[in-house]
Amino acid sequence: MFADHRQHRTFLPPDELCPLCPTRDGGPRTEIPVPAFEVAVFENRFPALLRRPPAPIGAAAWPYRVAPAHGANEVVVYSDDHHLGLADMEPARIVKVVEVWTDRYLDLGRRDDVAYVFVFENRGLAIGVTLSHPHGQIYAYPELPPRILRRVDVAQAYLEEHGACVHCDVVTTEAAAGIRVVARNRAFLAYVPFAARFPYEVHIASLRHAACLPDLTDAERVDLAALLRAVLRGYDHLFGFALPYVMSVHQAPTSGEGHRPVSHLQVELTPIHRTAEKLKYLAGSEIGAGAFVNDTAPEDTAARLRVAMAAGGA
Amino acid sequence: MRLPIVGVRPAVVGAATAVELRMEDGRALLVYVWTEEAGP
Repeated sequence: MFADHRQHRTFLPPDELCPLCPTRDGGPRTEIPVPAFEVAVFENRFPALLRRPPAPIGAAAWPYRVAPAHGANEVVVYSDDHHLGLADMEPARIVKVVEVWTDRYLDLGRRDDVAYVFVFENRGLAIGVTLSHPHGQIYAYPELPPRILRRVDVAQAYLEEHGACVHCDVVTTEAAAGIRVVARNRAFLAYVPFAARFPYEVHIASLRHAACLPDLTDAERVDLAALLRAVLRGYDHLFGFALPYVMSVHQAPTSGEGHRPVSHLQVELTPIHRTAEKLKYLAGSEIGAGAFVNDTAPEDTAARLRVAMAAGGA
Repeated sequence: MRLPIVGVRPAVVGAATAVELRMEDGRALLVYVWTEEAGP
């Protein structure tokens, strides 16, 4: 995707000029012109995907192909508190954020020009955030992004060979083994994946086959919020600062019911730190060959996270 | 400055109501409200 207008988007404004804060009496007009709110969602001022996109720049000569950037980019502002991130919220407030993600998934997923609704958060300067007010984003793509396509294809092949959802089998295996498990509750399991790309990568997956957020019951949403909070607080406790991460919420593509058997609700957390002082950079093997080299054993990082959470992080 | 309310609809899950507003440049803004009395 190309969106050259995004080069000029707002970049790390001072707190008093935060565009994601509510518009208070006497204060600057922000993106959200109400004095208080719980959760707000708005169309990104600098979108890469649009309901009515412009024609692609330039003609595509063989062998290239171009297409208009159909879709949507939304910003999800978690609260009107400039400093209140998910890790510091009460569980009931995180449930509200989960409810909004669910609503947006359904609303955007109904559109004919949307094939995949991707809920995510970039947290921290090291990840490249441009606004410090805690928020997430939603990209509604017109087709399945490469990593999602691979995920669906692998799950489809596994289903055809074994007659089961690969993610269900992974979750069952991890829950039984326990060695990479970070935390669990009635509905969700948090674990460092067997083939973790990043040292402190954690997946939070539904214990039953839920394909997307709307499949969850009220009680399951509470369990998802609780486990997400526990892991995020564990991260911060272990590292001693608000750990930067990318959070990806994987759900079923919305371009057909056929994706449901091979889609499994999973929140993927990928911090880029390997120690408090060192980052895991994507370098030769990762960028050039697509093969991740992880400097830690998943079993060890899971054990460290369990200790951090038991010590008060969660 | 008050923005025009385009619509109010119940969200699909939970007790929320989504109040839909239109920003001056045409973008959509949704404010989710969980209490019956509150609103933008």
